[in-house]
Amino acid sequence: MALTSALNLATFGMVATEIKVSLASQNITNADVAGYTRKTYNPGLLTTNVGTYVIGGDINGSVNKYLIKDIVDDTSLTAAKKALSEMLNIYGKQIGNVAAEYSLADSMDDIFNGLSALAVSPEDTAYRTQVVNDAGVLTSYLNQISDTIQAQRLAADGEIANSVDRINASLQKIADLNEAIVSGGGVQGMDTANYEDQRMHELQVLAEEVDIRYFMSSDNRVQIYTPGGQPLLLSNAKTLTFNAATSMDSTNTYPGTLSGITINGIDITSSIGGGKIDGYLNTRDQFFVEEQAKMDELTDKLMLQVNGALNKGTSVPPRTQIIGSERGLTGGESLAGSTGIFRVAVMNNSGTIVNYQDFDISTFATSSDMVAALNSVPGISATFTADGQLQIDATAAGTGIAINENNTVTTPDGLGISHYFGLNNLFQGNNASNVSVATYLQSRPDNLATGALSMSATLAAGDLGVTAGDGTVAKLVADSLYATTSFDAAGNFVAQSNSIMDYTQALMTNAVFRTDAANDAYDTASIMLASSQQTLDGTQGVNIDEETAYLLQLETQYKASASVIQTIQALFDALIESIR
Amino acid sequence: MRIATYSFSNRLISDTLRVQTQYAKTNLQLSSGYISDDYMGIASDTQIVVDLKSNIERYDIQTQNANRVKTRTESMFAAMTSLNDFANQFLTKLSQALSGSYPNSADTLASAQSVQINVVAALNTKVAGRYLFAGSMIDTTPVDLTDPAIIAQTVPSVADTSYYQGDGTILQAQIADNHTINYGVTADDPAFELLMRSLNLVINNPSDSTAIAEAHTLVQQAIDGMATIQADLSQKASAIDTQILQTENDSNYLDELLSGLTETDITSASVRLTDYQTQLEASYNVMSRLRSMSLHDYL
Repeated sequence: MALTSALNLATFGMVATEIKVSLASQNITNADVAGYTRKTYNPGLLTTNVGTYVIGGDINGSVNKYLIKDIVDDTSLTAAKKALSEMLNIYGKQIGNVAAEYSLADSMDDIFNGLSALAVSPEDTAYRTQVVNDAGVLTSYLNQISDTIQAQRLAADGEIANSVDRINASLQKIADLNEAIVSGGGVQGMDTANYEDQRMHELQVLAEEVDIRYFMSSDNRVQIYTPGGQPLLLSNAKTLTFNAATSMDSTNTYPGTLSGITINGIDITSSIGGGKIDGYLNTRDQFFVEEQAKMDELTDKLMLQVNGALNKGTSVPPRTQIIGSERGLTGGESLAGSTGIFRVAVMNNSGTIVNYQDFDISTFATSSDMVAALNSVPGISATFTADGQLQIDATAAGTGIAINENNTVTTPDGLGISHYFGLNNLFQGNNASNVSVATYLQSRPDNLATGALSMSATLAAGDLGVTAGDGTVAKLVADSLYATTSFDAAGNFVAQSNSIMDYTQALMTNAVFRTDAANDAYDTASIMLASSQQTLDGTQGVNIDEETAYLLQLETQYKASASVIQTIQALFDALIESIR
Repeated sequence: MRIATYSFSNRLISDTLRVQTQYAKTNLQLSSGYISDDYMGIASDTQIVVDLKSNIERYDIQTQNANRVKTRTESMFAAMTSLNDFANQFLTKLSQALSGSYPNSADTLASAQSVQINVVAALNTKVAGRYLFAGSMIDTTPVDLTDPAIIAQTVPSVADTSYYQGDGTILQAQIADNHTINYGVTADDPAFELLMRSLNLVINNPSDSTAIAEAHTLVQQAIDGMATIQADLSQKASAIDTQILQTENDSNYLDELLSGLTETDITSASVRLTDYQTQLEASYNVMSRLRSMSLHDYL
């Protein structure tokens, strides 16, 4: 009967409206969920000989697969820049404090000033203490910055491990979603639409960790590769492995003691191009390795220059025991080919000569010849310590040792003989992490040499070996900070001729520039990403006002259908009434 | 074209936060007086700022050193003024002795000895713990009359610097990047030796008129020699003054440059702050209006 058909049509209409209302409710509820796209119901139409029914149909999401591809790329890029920028910021801030005058360059300026004052007034012991203290500040600073660099590398390494875990979880999730979508398609349309949303969103989450290329297979699976072509997800998710480091110093590098990212034993690190992982890899393996290399090169040449100058001098009052900073000497080190004459003297505490002797080091074959030479001087005894340092003692009470290395040049490094053994260093250590002020100065800053032992041919016992007004060595050390010297290539700096001060300035400037550039790159990338994201959300997101207005419309439709049914019921009643 | 509700309001919030950050940063600049605490805030100027600071520090120490050297030079000049007085005093006494108007040889001797004490004291001037006329042996008394090598002079006298205990180093100091100054004067300078010799001659031969005549000549030569030294010292002190002034000028100029690069320009920062404030207020306004523009409220 037509009435029954009318009833059925209205009922099916109301059911369809109910579905739409539930979808509107779902849209509103999930409006702020990341990745959720607006769901719409496309009812199917079934035309029979009694009318067209609204039946079945499916529920579609609003996913825009093409916009998402762009966003995935932007996400990877932004995440990489963000990771790098965050890692670098701490370092950039530590480069120096403008107002408080605390930086590498400021420390060096202070040392220079103290030495310059000493050059003119070597009798002023307060300056000696000041110079030694300032040298300590400089070395602490170098140590601290090196610690920061390595700490950041370790942090980056740890973040890579976290990222790999998240990638693995993400890949597995996408794989599960693939299965759900493929197996559930057509039977329960609603779930598929939501799964599609989740899958697309998960791709973005994954892209944040690592740069990916993805394709849809013919059966609506997502397949994921690295930009280098390494598969991450085909029918199954691949598992990435990474071994986090437990400690970090400048000797840990990749490739080497540090882990790369592997799939089934194949190292895919070089095929990774974006995402947080790229930022962290950059931090760990490039940027901070370069910065550390520059710090180490600066320290190396700083020690070379400053120690080279200070070793021309001798402490007044002379030290009763001198232990060289150079360690690991066996006595067998070759000195063949060295030239020059040096003078060693026994002086008493007022600086007057007791006895002295000159030696020609072209007769030295090995470093043990130095010990022998020193031992031949009355009042001096020399030996190598257990650590392989040259130890020289003045045997008579009230006396000390003075050395002027004069024009000696040792092979192969071209250092003076005193510098060779590190007898009168300002700095000791071998890189930025462990450089420190020489022990004999830490304990007594007064030991800082400002003048040199007299090389006069007519020097006699009873004469002053070093005069109190001699500030020439202090001046030499001060000038060494401004003297041009050769630097090896280190980090992103080429081999160059420069002064210590200028190299320090260049190092600071470059570090600040790079950090600032990383920040700018992140800002730019994130603005672009935000725009793309906005556009995407605009296309596929939920607009609450829209849903609310739609609900009004549905309400009207439902009421209309209900009143149709009411009318039909009244007609049925009338019919039955008429039959009775 | 449509927008998604939450995504739109999130965007608005993050944009507002960005303005808020700028506002806070400008506020900080005004309160601290510096454009930035760390070098990243002045990144493109890092090289020049570090360089300027270095130069200013160096100029400061050079000025300090110059002032010290100037003090020493002025002290030496003052000592030599005294020496000049004593020498002239002695010359007068010798003239009197030669012309016979001076009482007797005992008085000549006493006069010479008195002058000698003063001359030695002047040459042994010590300032800030440094003997000025001892070369680099600044902790050694330059003139010691008890040195056994000192010859008792007779006519004709011979040059003898055995009284001198210092060394021959002429002290020098770098008071500017390209300005090293030799400011030292040692007590064994020929001019002083002449004076010392003349005193020695008279003290050892107070009644010998030939000796007194020779001493007279020697003192005149000494006075001439010392005048030259004094003129040199004066010229050096003046050169140091000029250098100090120039260094201070340079330093002040660099200071200004540095301030411009590192310190907040209060006026422009205040204007910027007002701008950000206005922007923020407008932003807050928009956000609150958006909240009230919901279809719900009209149903």
